[in-house]
Amino acid sequence: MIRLDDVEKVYRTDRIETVALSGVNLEIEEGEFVSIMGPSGCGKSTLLHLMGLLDAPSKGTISLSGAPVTDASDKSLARLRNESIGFVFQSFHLIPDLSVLDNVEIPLLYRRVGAAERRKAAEAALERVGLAARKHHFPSQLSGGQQQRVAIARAIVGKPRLLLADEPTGNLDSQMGDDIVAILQDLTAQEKTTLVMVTHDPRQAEKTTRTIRMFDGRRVS
Amino acid sequence: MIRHLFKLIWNRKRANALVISEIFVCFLVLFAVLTQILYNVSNYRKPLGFAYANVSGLNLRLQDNEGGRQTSLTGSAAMSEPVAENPYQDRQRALLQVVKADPAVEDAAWAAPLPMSHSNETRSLMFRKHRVRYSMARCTDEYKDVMGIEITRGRWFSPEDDGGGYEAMVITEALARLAFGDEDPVGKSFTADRSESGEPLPEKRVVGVMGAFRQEGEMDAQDVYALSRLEYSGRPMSSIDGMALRLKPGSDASVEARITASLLAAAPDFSFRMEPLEAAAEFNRRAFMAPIALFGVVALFLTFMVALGLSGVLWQSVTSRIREIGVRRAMGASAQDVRWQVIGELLVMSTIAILAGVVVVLQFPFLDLLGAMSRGVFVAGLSLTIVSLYGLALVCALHPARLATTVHPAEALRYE
Amino acid sequence: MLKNYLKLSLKILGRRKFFTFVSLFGIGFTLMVLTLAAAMFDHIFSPYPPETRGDRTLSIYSIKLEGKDSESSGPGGYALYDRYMRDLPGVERMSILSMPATVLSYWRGARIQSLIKRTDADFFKILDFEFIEGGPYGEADVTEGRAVAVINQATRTKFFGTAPALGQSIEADGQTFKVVGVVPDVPIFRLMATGDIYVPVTTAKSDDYRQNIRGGFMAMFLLKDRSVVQSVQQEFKARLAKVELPPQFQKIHAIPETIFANLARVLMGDFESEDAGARLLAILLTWAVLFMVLPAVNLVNLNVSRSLERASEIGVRRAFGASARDLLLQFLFENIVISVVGGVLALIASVFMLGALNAADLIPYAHFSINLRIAAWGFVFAVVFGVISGAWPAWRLSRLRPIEALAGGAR
Repeated sequence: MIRLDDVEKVYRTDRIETVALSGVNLEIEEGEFVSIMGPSGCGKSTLLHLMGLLDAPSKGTISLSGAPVTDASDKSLARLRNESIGFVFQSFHLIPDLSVLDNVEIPLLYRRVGAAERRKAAEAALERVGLAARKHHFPSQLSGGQQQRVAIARAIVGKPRLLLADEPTGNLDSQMGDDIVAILQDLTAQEKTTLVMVTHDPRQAEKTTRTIRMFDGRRVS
Repeated sequence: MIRHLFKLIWNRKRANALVISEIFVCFLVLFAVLTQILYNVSNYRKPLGFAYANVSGLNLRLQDNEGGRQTSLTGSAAMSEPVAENPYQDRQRALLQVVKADPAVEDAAWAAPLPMSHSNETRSLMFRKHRVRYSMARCTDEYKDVMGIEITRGRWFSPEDDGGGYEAMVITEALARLAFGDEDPVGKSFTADRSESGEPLPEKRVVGVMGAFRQEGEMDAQDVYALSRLEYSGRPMSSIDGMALRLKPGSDASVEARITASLLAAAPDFSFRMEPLEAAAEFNRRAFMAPIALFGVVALFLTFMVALGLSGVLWQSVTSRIREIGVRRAMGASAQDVRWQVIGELLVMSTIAILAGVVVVLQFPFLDLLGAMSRGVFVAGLSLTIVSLYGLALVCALHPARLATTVHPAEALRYE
Repeated sequence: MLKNYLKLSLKILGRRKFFTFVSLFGIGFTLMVLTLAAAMFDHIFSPYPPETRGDRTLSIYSIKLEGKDSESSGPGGYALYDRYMRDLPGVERMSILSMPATVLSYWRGARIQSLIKRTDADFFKILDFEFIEGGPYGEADVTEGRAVAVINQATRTKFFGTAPALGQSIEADGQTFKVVGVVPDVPIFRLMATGDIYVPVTTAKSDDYRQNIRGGFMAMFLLKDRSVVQSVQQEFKARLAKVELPPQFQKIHAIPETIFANLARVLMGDFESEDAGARLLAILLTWAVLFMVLPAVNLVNLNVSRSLERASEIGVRRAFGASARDLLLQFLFENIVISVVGGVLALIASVFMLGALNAADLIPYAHFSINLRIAAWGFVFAVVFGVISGAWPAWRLSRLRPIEALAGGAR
């Protein structure tokens, strides 16, 4: 599904050079549910951003479904993100000025999809996470767990093959966290979506099929 | 996508209301200035109806008392006491002969008010049950050749009008349309339906129609105009204080001095003031342009200020919405999509402001407040305002929009 | 505390160059236009020499006659003042003067256009001209109808260049006058005093003017002091009732007024209502406020959009005990500071603009300048503008709840 070869990421500011990742090799198969673990600052988020094509590696190559994407243009990267990848963030990142339904529709706005179809797809995705009743609410009117479920609905509304979750349970209590991971598990089981989840919580990592450990920008297992 | 932008703007209405109201006020300012400019340009391009090159105006006064303003309720010259016959006719005939005798004078006519004289004789009468308002001047028969007036229908004044018991008139096409509609006015009576003071009304008769006559020159909007024929024996002639002289090309101040001197010799109790119409026309143009230029410059600066302000607001809004931009990028928006969102939002806000502005501005034609302005000018001014406002919005949005495309999604989302 | 705020506001000015430029540009431009308008207003309406006794001078520019089916308005006639208004109680002197009339002179091959004003001798006793050459003509010159003239500097230049004019002769409208005095130019909007050539009223080509109630003349009344204004006006009105009117008129309206009220009537073309001056002032102030609307909205917008920038500062201040009122005052103060800075820039720009305006000679003999009075007006405008444009953003910022502020600002 996605493959990283000898990937290195270096951040340069005026004076300092920070190596965030070095020599990372990684392959994730179709339908896997992989967790990435490691202490703060070990490069997990950077790794996830690279896999999500939000950032380009300083060295090495990334291939999606066998095709290298490292040198693709902004436009084709945007298209790949839109059609093949879904994101879930630790702090949800819902747009506060839009209703739940409108938030979920966002990925479809960047495709040629009619308004009615967009609405139907967004409602179906909300149904999937059990929040159809709240579609006209605004994010500020929902609890953290509900907001994260909206974020998941937004991530899956475009039916991506790869779902990337950056500490999706980090801002939630354990009960809500369990609910969220249950939904994610259900997604891989039912729809064969490949799932990569960065987490701090060993309890959640245990629920995945494979765990990758990072330390100081390197993969340690 | 546009629906999405509307939603976004509606949901942020508190913050956006201010921006929209700013664009709205800017719309009104631009509309006022642009319409005024277009109005003057369109007037400028209309036919003038006469040629004033080499024509001088001569003003005669019994004493120095300028600045008087005489209005009368009836429209008749009620200032002086009624005289049956003109007591000055012999002197007036003689003075015209003095002028015509000068070798530099090609032709001369009595006329008042003269072109570019800033004095305006208006008449308002009920004619065929409609109120007709027009400006007018009185002149002797030489006026057509002195001013180069073109007759489009009927004929110019001639001695056959003498003692006919009617007041012969030549009216402009615009007045003909206003008073007679599609009917041919030549030979028709233009007497008011009834007298407003109770006195019997002398007959007015249209003998011909001229293309136009915009008395105050190129910037004058008024071309609903009439010329009435002067007879030396008639009462109106007694109050005529102007003469128009066509001079040979190249006549200078020495010619003026010579003519004035011979007039002073013939009538030492009079004051004479002679001025080329060209100079007066130039003065009129400047007097017209100065305030327009002033308001134009102020409006230009105001617009520039608004443009800077909107740019700043948009820039600010982009920086405060970095995370939203990051999310959209993560969800598959390309840099172009983000750019068009920023531009689109301002264009949508402009549209709302413009719609509000159009509703306000449309009250002018609905309430019949356009005055002398034609609907064509109004529509053109409105369209020009809308186009320039969209242009302004686009220009304001370009830089902030470019800034939004440089937002790096990974960095934007790292703010936790 | 104030010093602290002042320091902070100046710091903020320096922080974001683009926004500072936009704000200062808007404020400076707005205040410049207002300052220019104030300078012109001041120049037109405040008494300047020769109107040194302007505070106790009433003048009358135009009258109105009403009849059954006609009316006539404009300057009064010589007879109205000469026959009916002499020796009003409380009036020290009265002067009757003609409206300025355009006359032409053909002088050494050139054409000179001048405004001629025919006056009595009291004209130069009510107005305080500083003679550059010679002096005024006197009672004897007027009663004898001597062909003498006082001319202004511009006219001297047109006729004689840089040479002195005293004792020389000039020709105007076929009449020849001997120059007895030269006075400085008076701007055209000082209706009573302005003119290029002043000559005795008795030099008019015809004596007809002596019989007219309406046409061609103005009058000035120098009062004994300010307190008798109302009684003089009442006596004037009482005497109007005795005026013998031309047969087609039944009523006459006229009132001696201050320079400002008179000019207001001329500017507004209003020769009827009682308080043209108050109306003109109201119209001008309305325009000034309307003009401020767009720049104010612009600045409000900018300030509101920048509120996020200040959010964490607000949070910290609130956390350490600042009340909403403290913050409101702080932000208002900041805005007034930036407005006053803009006002100073505007004042400097105005000096240059007025210089250019004077050089362009748009209004004959006008010489606009900035004085302390106008600078004070500019300061008032700046503070008013600062409050108008700062109140709403400051109020919004001060209402931000501390938690929201610390979290990065409310939506």
